[in-house]
Amino acid sequence: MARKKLETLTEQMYYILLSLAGEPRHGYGIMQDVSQRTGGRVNIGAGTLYALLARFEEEGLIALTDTREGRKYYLFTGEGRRILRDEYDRLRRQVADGADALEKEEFS
Amino acid sequence: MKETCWKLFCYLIIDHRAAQAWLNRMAEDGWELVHIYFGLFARFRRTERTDLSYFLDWADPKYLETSDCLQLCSDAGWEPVQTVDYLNLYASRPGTSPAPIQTDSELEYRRFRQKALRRMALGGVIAFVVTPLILLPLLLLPSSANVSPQEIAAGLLSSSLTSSLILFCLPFWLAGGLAYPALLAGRLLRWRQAVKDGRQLPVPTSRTAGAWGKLKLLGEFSLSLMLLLLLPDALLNGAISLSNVIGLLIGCAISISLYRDNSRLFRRVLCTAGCLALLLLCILLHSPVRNAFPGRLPPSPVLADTRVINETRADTLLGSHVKWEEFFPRPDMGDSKIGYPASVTVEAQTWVSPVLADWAFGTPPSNMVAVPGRGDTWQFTGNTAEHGGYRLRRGNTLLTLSYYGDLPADPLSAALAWLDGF
Repeated sequence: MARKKLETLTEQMYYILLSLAGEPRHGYGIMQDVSQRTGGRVNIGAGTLYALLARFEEEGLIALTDTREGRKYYLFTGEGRRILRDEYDRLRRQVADGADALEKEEFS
Repeated sequence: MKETCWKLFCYLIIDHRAAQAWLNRMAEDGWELVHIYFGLFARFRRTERTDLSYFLDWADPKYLETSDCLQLCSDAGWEPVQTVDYLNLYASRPGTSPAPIQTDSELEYRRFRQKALRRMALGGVIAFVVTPLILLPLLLLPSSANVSPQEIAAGLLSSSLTSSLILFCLPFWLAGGLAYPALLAGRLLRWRQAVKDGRQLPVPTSRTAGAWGKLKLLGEFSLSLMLLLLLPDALLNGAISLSNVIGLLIGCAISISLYRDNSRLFRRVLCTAGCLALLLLCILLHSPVRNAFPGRLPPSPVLADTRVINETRADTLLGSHVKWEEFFPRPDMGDSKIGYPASVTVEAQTWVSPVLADWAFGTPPSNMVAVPGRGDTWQFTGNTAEHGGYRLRRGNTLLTLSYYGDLPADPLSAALAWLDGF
């Protein structure tokens, strides 16, 4: 079930991976980045983030890069990039299909 | 203005969202949680904070949260307050307005299954296996020992405070034991539906959660009372033997070993103190202290020229029970245990109410016949002429006398005199 879930990421999973795309971040850094990036629309709880980071690490989507002041820093891996890219493509197609359908409806 | 207040924290574990909402309401009213004692008594103190909020997260009571997780919660603005049963209680740090600790209902549901449900299910399975094992002998005993369930119940009510309470509470415990899994299943179905729909886990209404919480409180109160009654039972009624104490010590050792966390040292100390207290009571039971409580029904011999041996006494709030044997010593043998070849067993009960006495006396079994001209007096005869006995009642006191062997005289008049004298 866990594997299957990762074929389509939840919104929170997507933003966590997105947050780790540019530079290594620790947990709280990810929370702040996601909140900032989405203008406060998406907030990830500490417990949820902890569970998702553990799962991503286990699945090989992210890797531990450093531990400083008791905080673990992560960066996404090649596999993480692939999953994120797949999700991005899927969402883009979804948006494109939605735009097509809505435009046709508005013109008819 | 009061600076501290105490409230009952009585919520089922599965109503943790209702408990969280209650703590948040208390915080809005200016009360900050200090500690929950014994998972039941919540102590609050006044606070000026207006940004205080709480979050209750599932926890495995056997293992602490990892330092990574606690660090992340702390960074986010949540500080752990304490662990109660299967729940970690977090409070928001001043000046922060953190997002809830769990923001994914599916993960939260999975966490509940991993942290709490498995252990709860294991406990439930053990209870459902052990309960019939305890009840089965009680159900089979009447047919195998030729005694009525009424006699067994009367024996328990007059001889053990703990057994009396168990007998009274058992139907309620069984009803609760069946209702709880049904409630849990109902909640789980609603949670799963919420997860499927991508909604947050539903919060039960405060009225529903409060009603279930009060039922849980009643159950816990009855269990606590049962443990408390063990003490007078140990002293007065010999309810705790050395083997019981050894069993309790093993149980306590297992319980203590489950608490590896030093922050739960108090519970460990409490368990150890409880074990030592029981051990002390067991020692007192076999000391002269026991004789300082003569009870309502002192075992004085019914027949003339006999000595009382193998005496057992018990007193409860409802009645008293005493059983002994009478021994006919031979004058030529001095204090020797050799006596005339006749044995008499006497069992007496006295009740605090005539209603209870009526119920305990009940309808005598079919092998007994009423003695003509004497009310509430029944006689039974055994297979041989040397075996027989009487069952008598005067007021709230019942006496059953049975004998084997050749007695110097019919014991009926002596039994009646004993009852009249009592």
